[in-house]
Amino acid sequence: MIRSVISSTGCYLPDNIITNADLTQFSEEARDLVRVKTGILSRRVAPENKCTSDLAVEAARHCLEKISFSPENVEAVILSTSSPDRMQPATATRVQYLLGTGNAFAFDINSVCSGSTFGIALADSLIRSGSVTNVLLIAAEMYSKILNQKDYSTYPYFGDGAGAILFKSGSDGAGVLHSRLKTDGSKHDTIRVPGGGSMLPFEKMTSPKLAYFKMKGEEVFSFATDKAPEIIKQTALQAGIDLHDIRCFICHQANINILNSIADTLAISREHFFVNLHKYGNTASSSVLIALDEAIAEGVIVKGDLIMTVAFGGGLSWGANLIRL
Amino acid sequence: MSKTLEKLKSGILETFPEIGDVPISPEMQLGEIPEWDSIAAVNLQTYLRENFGIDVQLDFLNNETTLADIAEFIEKSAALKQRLS
Repeated sequence: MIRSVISSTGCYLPDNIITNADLTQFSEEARDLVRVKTGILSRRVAPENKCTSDLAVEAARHCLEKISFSPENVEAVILSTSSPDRMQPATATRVQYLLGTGNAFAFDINSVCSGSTFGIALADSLIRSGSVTNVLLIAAEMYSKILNQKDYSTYPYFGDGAGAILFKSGSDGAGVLHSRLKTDGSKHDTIRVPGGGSMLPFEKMTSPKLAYFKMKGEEVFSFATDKAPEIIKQTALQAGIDLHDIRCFICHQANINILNSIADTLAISREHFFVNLHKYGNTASSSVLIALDEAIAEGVIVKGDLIMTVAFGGGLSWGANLIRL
Repeated sequence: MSKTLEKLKSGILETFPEIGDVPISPEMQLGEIPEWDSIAAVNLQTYLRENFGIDVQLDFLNNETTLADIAEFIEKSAALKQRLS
């Protein structure tokens, strides 16, 4: 059976580190609360003259160069982003050009923070269909450019970054074993950028602030702590796997209290949930791929291990992928 | 409406652009602002600091606090600063 095997991973985080203490637009009282509310201690912010595709290219280069895989041999580039360079064309097209993957077709997907899991499922589908033998999946986000710096409900919690996976077709048992994706469109207003699209064009906006990212924090917390354990159990069940056989859960890095709640609900040790959100904040759809690359680099997970990637985000949407490394 | 209240009303509209049709009056309680919570309180705290030069504790910005309460705090703080300068 053909499966999509993780051949290499990569990530890129901008050099500029912003700690909670640096957020001087908020009171000291409020700055201290960021750590308590989310576990975030710092986040990375990209330079003014960079855009999302620049981060994507760096992560992808890191991924390909690690195994000396020639860009010309990449057959497909899928970019997950909810903070694109522009409304159009797809940000993946500039990535394809800058990366030198001229033989690949390239397009974007947007499932906000759950984009990584949707991207993994999509990449896997392409490979299993036989259309391609490899897919470069990248997730890149630059929320610093779409957040209101004075909005305490969003700005402190997000960071910029990108991650990448090179999938290749294989048949030795390793690879993506099962994916499960879900959407609840009735909650489409919970996480949003209200203005700048066809629903609310720029000239109709009553305030420029309607072009900033917004979310209903309490609703998101309830949604994530409810749906994430559910999809983890369903994915494992459908694949015939016991949850305790999974070496590591690579979850979307939004809030440590969400991760702890998921672990406790499933009665799985928190040690099996990889955490790096304290360093980078919520990097939206790139968080899972960044965490995956770090977990591999740190030796937390190795070849042969069973892992599960899990994400939840705007839409509302949520997904999980069971993967044998 | 005093100048302080007028400015505060503009600030509420600016800080909470999705306030919609909620009538903004001196008697309006902060809890009437859509999605008012501890995070919204920080946003208002930030606005007050930047636009009126006052530091309010988050405890003061609770559901029952009215715009009139905040305006009074602003005017008292300004009067105190003037006496001390």
